[in-house]
Amino acid sequence: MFRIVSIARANSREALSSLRAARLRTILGLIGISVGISSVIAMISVGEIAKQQARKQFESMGTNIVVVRKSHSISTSEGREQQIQLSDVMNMTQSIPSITDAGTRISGYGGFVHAGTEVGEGSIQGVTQSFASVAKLPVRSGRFISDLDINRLFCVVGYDIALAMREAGTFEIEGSLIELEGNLFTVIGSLGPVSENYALPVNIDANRSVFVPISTSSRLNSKPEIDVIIARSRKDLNYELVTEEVTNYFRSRNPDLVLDVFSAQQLIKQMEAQMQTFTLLLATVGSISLIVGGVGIMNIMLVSVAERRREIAIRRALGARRGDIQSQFLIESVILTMAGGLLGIGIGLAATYVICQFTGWDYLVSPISVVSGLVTATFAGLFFGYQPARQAARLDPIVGLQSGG
Amino acid sequence: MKDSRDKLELVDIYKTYRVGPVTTQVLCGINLEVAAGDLVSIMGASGSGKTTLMNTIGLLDHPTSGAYIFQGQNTAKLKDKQLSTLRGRHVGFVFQSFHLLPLLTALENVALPLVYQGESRSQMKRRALEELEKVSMSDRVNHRPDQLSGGQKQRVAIARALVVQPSLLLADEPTGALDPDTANDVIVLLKKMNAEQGVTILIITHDPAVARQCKRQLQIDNGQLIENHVKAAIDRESFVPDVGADYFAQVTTG
Repeated sequence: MFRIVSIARANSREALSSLRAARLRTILGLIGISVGISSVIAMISVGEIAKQQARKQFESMGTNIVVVRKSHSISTSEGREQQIQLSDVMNMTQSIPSITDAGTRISGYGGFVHAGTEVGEGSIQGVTQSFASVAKLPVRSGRFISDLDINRLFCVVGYDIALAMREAGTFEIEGSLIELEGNLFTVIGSLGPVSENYALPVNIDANRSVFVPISTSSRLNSKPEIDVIIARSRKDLNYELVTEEVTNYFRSRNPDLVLDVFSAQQLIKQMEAQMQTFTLLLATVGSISLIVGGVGIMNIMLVSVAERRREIAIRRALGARRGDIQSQFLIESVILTMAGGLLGIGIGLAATYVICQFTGWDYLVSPISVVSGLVTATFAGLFFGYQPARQAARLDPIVGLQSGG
Repeated sequence: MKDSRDKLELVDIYKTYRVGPVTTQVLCGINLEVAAGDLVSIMGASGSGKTTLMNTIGLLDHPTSGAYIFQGQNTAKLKDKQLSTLRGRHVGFVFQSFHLLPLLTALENVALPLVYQGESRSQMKRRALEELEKVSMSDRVNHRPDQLSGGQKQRVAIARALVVQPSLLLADEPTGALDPDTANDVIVLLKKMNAEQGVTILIITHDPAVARQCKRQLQIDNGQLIENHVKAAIDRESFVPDVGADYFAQVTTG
């Protein structure tokens, strides 16, 4: 046991000095392996960060969200477009056991004029009372639209609109008037900032919207149409069951109406599948560069063995066993790949940082990526160093003592 | 002192090399017994098989047939691991071109055999320093081989060979790359080690001046050993060094 420790220590020390002696070769080897390892690191880190990002988005939105949308692809048999009926939406919570809450909207577009100035343009959404809770809209002041505000000219302004109104000189937003497409509305509340969730198949854009009662909207809008239902399911349910119940419910109401039902869980699954494709692509790139780097290491080690045949023979004459020589060269290649690995981890994390800057994701160092980078590097050293080390160990000392180098 | 295990014995050793269809007989029935503590020279022309004989005795080469008894064991039956252990513990090598490792200091070179014995670092350093002291190289311990002269390198090599306190030291042309004065110093040193430590020394040389200083002289010719009993005769002659093996041939036949 003591012999192994003593040899390993001496071998590591000598490996370092021999790597230093063949500087150019060492650097070339380092470049190869560090490119491979950095791809692996970037691959794992980006995958990890993207997953984290998706999870965060859904966590903010709630994993029990269900989105129902009219299917775009289907045109109806009578040539007349089928519509989602508001009454069917209002009955969802009573008729579908798995649904606890449901809200909907009629979407329009227009400019907003307040105190004689244009304070923005965006969507004018006619919503039900539940829309705030299902879409998680934070009411900052006043109140949200109520189902009792039937046909009233009340509105709730989004964060950016409220900001613009303050800039126009209005400090008391509630009770002030805002002109939407020729009608004067009384502002009854305003929302806090909402970050848009791009993972959902619905665009809310709450910050730049004005929300009005759905009944008002259907009267003022020339072509009122419910485009989306956002609902919440009971938390413990399987998404397939929820989707089935919702689909069946609407089919029983109107068999001609074709809807797409999305659940958060399903979306997460889809996203994960997409991520898997992405990860697979990165893994392929990483593996290829790792193999190229590894072959480089193998080449370098083979050259090193060939150059040091005399040294190997001398060591054998001095009592080194085949195993000692093999371990010496394995240690050398592992040190080389570990150094390349450390370099690669640095490059990989830097690359991840750059990717995060571009995508706007939160940068984080995933410990798994660092650990797997080191493990991969070590493994590459052992794998690609094995053949050269074996060759060194099998060298005939007599031949080696006669050779130069 | 050394016990009887330290004698070595070669019985009917043959060594044949086969390169393609060509078979070369290098050693043809070598019989040799070397007593513990002896100082033996083996002379021979190039290609006479003297290096092969040394490699065989040093357990680096396997004979094609015959028995080699070293440390009381028939080495033919031993595996690489056991041979390496035996070689590391009991055999020291000194080569014509020194064969020091260029990246290591004198101290590290001398300590190297101890690495394979599993010695502790402090022990390695202590023993290597001791050995360097014996060869008067204490003032050069941290020098690399390229900072040493030929004679100094060979001293370091001798220290390295002796650091494990082997029973046998094999020197293959130890003075071949040195000028006559330095060569003489090295031989004097080897003789001193033989006398003081009782280590058996086998010197392979083609220099009669070196051979002359050994207790026992052998000659190898066409793979066969001839005992040279005419040391006294040579001593009586007014000896001219560096005339080579032909001189011996004349003396033995004449």
